[in-house]
Amino acid sequence: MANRTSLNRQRAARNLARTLSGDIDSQTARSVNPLTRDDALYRDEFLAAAELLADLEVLADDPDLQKIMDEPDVLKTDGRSGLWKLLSIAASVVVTVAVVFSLNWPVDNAEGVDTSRYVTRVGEQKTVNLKDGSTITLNTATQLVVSETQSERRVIFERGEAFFEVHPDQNRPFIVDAGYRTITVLGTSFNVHKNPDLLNIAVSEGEIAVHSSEESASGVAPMLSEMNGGGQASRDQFRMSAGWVMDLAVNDGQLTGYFVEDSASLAKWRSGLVEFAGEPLHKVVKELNRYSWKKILIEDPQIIDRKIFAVFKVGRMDQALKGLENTLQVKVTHYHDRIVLTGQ
Amino acid sequence: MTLTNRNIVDLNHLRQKEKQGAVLERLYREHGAALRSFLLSRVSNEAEIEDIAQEVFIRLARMDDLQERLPSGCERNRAYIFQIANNILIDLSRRKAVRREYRDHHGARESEKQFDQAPEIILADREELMAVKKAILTMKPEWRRAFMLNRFKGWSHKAISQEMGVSVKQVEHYIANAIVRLRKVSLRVGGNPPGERR
Repeated sequence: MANRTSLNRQRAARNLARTLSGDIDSQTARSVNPLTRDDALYRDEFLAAAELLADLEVLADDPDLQKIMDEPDVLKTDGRSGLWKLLSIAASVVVTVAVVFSLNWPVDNAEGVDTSRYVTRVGEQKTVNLKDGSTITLNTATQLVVSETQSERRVIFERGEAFFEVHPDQNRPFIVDAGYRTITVLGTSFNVHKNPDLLNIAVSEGEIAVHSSEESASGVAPMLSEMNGGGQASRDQFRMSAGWVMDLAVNDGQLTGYFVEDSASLAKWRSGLVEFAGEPLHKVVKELNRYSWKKILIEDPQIIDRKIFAVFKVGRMDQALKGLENTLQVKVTHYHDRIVLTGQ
Repeated sequence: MTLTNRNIVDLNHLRQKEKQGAVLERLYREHGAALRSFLLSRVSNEAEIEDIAQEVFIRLARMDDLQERLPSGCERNRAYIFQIANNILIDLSRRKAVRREYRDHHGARESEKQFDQAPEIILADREELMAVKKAILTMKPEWRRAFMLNRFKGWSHKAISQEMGVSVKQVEHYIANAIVRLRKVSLRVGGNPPGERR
């Protein structure tokens, strides 16, 4: 076993060094990743070495080592063990108390523009009150930048999910630029959910205009409800009223619109609840993973389509998993870096 | 409106925050892509990458002296950012008993229990630190130079290769050998999960 250990130690060290070079390419990065293959020995060696390096950061400020870095020639004359004896052995542990800053900070911008970035971490939710009286509620892992000027109120929606309650202002349109599409409103409530695969917009109150990001809204755009194709369309400009939801699949550009009777129920996440009404397990898992650092993975093809009817509390993953275990007869296995579901 | 003391303090605070914002934007521009590539080599599920990158910048935002710690054009910035990411990865995968003890003892707030670690809050075993420091001082000079330039000064392999007059591959070998040497003297035993001491 000693040989295998030392071989893996060598390999892990070499690969770890490569990842820390500062400019590794994606292909190499994926190929050396210790977590994506079955090699437990390699993985343990890699992670142990990475942890060791993390602990060594304190030595960066060590005065003895500093001296050597600045005068490399010192070593040649003193001989190895002699040097060790000469230098003082005072490992200092630097402890800093992190001061909590609010996670809203002003962004570099042109004069006259009032800009702020708002961010939530995984599992966090928060509400922001804008100067104009509008409110934005941010869901898990969300990032957006808000700028208010004389002529408009603009939000750059980078990622995540947020519910907007826009205070009416005839003179200043409220614009949400979500990259794939842009929303322009005067005063209304709506929900935006953006991730790399999709853009989902749901209107709770009032009316919004959706258009591509290069153009501005035009008043004569058709209503989503009027567009044909059984709810499917690929238009660049349309308006949506309360109760209407739009799904844009980013990869193929397919746009779907549908109506929800109970428009007040849109954005239930704001009450800290996530509800599923017959969704297949794989969709439920994808949604739950948005709220949790430790990701849930399904490793049994037989259970991926099991239907879930449940309401989960945001931040209570333990309850959610217990629920799945009991009602669905799903086996939950906890690993150090993930949670795995299989059939019983 | 007269400028009371309170107003002056608020203005300074705001100016500080504006500077902070500019620094963060710069760091994001300069190191965002490299950070994501680094994370590709360390996450079990690529969906986690955005969340971790997000957390890195949140931690940076919370630092008092960001401008001083990561000044513009400084070599060490990328390594520092990678180190924060590394700490997050380690926190996520292993709950270190030592760190938890420190947090509980010093009464960290409930909401911050997971995420309040700046890279300096490391309670490495003193004995282990001394053993490692000795190993650094007594290893082959080439290994030591490459290792320290990379880990303590944050130099890229390319910069080190130019400084030492050898190929990048050679630099990688030096650093890898240094790591192996340090692993041998560290008190972790291969095969035991990291984070479990002795």
